[in-house]
Amino acid sequence: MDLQEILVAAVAIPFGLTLVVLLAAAWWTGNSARRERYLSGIGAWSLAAAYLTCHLGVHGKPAGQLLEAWEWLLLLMPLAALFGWGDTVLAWPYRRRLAAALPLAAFAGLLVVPSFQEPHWPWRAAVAGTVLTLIVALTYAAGRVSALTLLSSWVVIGACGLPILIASANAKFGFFSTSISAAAGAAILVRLVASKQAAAFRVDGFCIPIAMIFGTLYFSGYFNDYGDVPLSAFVLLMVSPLAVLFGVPVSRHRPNSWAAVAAGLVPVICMCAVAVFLAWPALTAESAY
Amino acid sequence: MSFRPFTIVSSFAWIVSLAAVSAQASGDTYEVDAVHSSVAFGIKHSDLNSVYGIFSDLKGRFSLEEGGQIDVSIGVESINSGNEGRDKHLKSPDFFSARQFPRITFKGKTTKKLDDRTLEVVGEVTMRGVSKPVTAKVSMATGKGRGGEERGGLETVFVVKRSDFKLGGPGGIGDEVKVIVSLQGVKK
Repeated sequence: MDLQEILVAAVAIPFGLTLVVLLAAAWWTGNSARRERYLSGIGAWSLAAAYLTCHLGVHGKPAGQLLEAWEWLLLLMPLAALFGWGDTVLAWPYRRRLAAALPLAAFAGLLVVPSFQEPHWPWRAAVAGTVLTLIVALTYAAGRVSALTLLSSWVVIGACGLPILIASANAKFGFFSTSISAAAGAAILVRLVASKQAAAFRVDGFCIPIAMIFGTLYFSGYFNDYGDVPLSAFVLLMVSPLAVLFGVPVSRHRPNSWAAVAAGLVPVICMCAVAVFLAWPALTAESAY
Repeated sequence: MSFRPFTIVSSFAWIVSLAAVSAQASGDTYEVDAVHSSVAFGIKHSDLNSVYGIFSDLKGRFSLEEGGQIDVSIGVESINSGNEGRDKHLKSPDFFSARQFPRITFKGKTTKKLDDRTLEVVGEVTMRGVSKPVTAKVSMATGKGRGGEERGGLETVFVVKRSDFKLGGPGGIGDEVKVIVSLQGVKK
């Protein structure tokens, strides 16, 4: 695969696919309250589809069986999408959402930690804990900060994941990260271009698949790191989605204002910038080729 | 005292198989001497020339007799292409995924002697959890080492495709990889 093919698989197709899915859902909703309800969580499926097309386009199908821990994302992302869609459509109360999130997060911890990463159980707990924390925090934020803030933060995080993962000698994972940026970017475009129809899809639907991918992909990058990127860079990237919560107090007083967007987005940008800064020595090492 | 026929036949079969294994183990097999062995690979870069690298962690044994076995494994972490950054990238999940699949193996399943100095080996290469058949013509030689021990050598070149083993990566590098195997072993 040359660089052009990778950019198509990692950016253009995820962007285009998400755009088409969300626009089609917005158009199909029409005046049907029932359709609006069931399509409100379509964001979850569009994000999972964007990731899966990138994964399969860049890496290809698993060779007969799922062999490597990170390849389990092919299963985990659709599961997260199902959960995200269900959570949005059924509007689960907090406790029911948490009860459903626990086994999903535990499953992610069990699958994504490779056999060579020891000690196993602390790392599994770390992955599960990160996914669970992100699910709780992002679903909380979804009702309290603007969709633009959330989506923009995911564009930034996904994009900053690329240099950090390349620095760890895992360019493939970097492209997976950019597919998330592309999908979130497409969702922003839909909301800007078709704002009334875009109300049909709620940003809540994205939250759980986002929690899954950010809580597992960057761990995978660390587990397979050959570039000596410090763990702190990966941790900052993984927890940066939580920084949107800084926007909650401002959103309460000045909802849908640019100040509210900035209050949520600027901390995310700062954390990602620090993460990239920490990975910079590995990215610009003399032995780069 | 009488013996049941089955007991006689099974005892005889056991003795024959034991003798065969002993002959295989003691007469025909060479243990790889990593110090005097090399496995190298070459891959086209930007369609201009080939870039080469070697693996230095080699283990296994081989036989130079028709019908013998060849069983060699290579440590992926020992890869050296002359550039540290490239070596790290080659070990990552973009290419070999060395932490998950630390060894490349070759198992020669059948061998046919083409002449006194050439074998045809049909075997299976396993890289990154994927196994593919390989057929190679192998040049062989035997002799004595400096300490008087019996030694054997084999050399071969064959081609594999990166895409068959999911050894992906950015563009600019060819799909076909020339593999040069040169082994010397000490007779067991």
